[in-house]
Amino acid sequence: MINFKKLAALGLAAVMGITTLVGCGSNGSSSTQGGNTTGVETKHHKIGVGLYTDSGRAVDAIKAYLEGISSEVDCEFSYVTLSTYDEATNLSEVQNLISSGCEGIILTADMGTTSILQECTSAGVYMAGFLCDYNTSYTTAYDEVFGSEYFLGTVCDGWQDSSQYGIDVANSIIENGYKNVGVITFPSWAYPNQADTDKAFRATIEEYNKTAEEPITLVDTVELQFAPLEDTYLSEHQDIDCIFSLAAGANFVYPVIVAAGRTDIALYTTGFEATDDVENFGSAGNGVFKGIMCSAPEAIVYPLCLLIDKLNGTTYADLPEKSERVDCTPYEVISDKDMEQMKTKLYFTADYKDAVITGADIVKMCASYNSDATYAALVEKLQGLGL
Amino acid sequence: MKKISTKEWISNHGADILSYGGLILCILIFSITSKGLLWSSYNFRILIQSVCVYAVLSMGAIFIYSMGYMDISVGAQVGVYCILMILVTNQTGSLLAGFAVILALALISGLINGYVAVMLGLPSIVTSIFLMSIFGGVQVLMMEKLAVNSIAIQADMTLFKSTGFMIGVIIVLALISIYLYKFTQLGEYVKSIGANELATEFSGINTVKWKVFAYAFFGVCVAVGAFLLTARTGAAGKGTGTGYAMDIMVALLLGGMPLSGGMKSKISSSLVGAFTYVILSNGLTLSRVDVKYGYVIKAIVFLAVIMITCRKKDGVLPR
Repeated sequence: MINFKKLAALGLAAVMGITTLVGCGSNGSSSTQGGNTTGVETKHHKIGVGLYTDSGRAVDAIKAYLEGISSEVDCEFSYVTLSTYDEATNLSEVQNLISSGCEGIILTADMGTTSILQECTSAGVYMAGFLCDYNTSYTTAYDEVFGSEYFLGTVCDGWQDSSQYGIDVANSIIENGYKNVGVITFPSWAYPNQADTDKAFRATIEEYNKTAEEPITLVDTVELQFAPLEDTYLSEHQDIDCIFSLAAGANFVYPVIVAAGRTDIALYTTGFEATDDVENFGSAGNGVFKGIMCSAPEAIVYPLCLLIDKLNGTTYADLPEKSERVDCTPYEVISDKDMEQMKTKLYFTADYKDAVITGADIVKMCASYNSDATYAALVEKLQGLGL
Repeated sequence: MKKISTKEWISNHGADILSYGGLILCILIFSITSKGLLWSSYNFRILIQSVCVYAVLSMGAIFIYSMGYMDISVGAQVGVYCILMILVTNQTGSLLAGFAVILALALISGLINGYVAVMLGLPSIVTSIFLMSIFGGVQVLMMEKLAVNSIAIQADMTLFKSTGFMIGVIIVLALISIYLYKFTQLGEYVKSIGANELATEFSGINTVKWKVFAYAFFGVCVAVGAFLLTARTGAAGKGTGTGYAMDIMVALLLGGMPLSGGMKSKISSSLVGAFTYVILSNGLTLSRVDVKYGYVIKAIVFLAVIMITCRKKDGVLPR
């Protein structure tokens, strides 16, 4: 039997729902401001952005950046959260973006890409990648994805081949005198490039060991299945004094180190949370974090410029025939000085005024707004994003 | 013939009014906040595509939830079936062979869920957890063995992901479900088991048999759901099916299904709930609601449904 309380609950839910929708609908998720300060006449576009997670400093920085450039580049942005594992979720989210009127889509996950691209093709919507090397598609569905006129290319999370970071970390470990080092990666089927970084790291250490009085011992690489490091790892390797984690060390390794009371271990990692990894970097806090690598949110200019030009019906004179995977220089933080510099970057502050590529710069980089703009210049801009 | 008063009618159909009301309310709110985008032909197509798998699984799950049981292995099952179907189809070149394999497996799983639990004297949730662990492990092992993040089907499934086909599947399965639920002993007995299993057993009904039948029908729905999901995405991976067990539970609750089963269970809960659940996610994106607020809104709606459908005298869960 329906009673007053139930009707009141229904009414309350309706009121709260409408209020929240009205309140949130125009807040944060998009911007519709028009006009810019460059004096260039721009066309308004709606771009959907699918991010790999819904929270964290990286997400805050990306959203702050896109909000900051929205009026200059005359674009509004809508956001959804993607799944790293589930094709159906990603397809549904992209369909929802298309349905909401997005003309271009930027995605940070290569999962279900073939079906997503089929959907984009049938809807006449272009898509491009960001902070993702689209390795699965590159190796298993190259023609369907990179050969499609609706896939415009992707900017990787740092270097496609991040062997250099492996070499830099190895040199830092040698310099700091660590003698028992463990290496942790994500599964090679998901991140095959991490195996190359590991290989370059090991080669550098082995080269050092040839002439070293006290060689460095390298523990066999452990693959994390997107879950925290097993507690037993540290008890099995009690002599370990350093870990090189290519698998989000701040989330998956650091908490295990702290729980085991082994904050004497040095941790070099990838990814940046701007929480424990800042407070305990180098000479700060417990000093566990010795090295961090991550990519600048500004790298999103690559897919954005390509989308804007495509939507405006213009293209770079030097645009390659097939879509590409391009590098962006990542932030490599391996000293206190680097960290101080990092703290001034958009990634850390999540404040648009700290961005190294402004909205006005983007307008100048688009072929549709600047006839002198080139694809080579766009790619080169990404090389200047490091510290 | 006794004349039923309006008050009595409302009292008897309260849950229906609320579940349909919830769906209508969602449609009304999102029609306004999405500025009409909810009604575009493209959006209709994607709604059907998204609803289809949920509706198919929910229609099977109704038979399980009516008994007051639940099956939390459905997500892992769907994941394994999708991968298996792709592997078999790619190997044999026959979609039928792929579907036959997963259908057989789904029926075996139903048998384990329904029969083994009774034989071992275990609550069905325990066998469900067991199956979830097994299927979850198999899914991970298969993908690691394949050493890829995602495996694509080579057969052309364009027909099976068309809106017409999906609507057809929903209608056919809904008709079968309604028939089984309203006009056969299966429907009658699963509700009876949910209302009072002991009394049902004492009245001479072989509850084990009907439990197995209910789980077998659910198995068929899981296999069909996995087939449609594969048709939709054309690929499967380690995370395929993740979250479906919870999604279906939420969809059924949104559709007014009493979580503890019994005589008030209704087949319409599956369709109403599936549509409400999908429209909720779709409408929030169309209304440009920030992802973070989206979670809060979904939680509010869910809480409201629980508050409305809960009958305190029977306990905290809706009944």
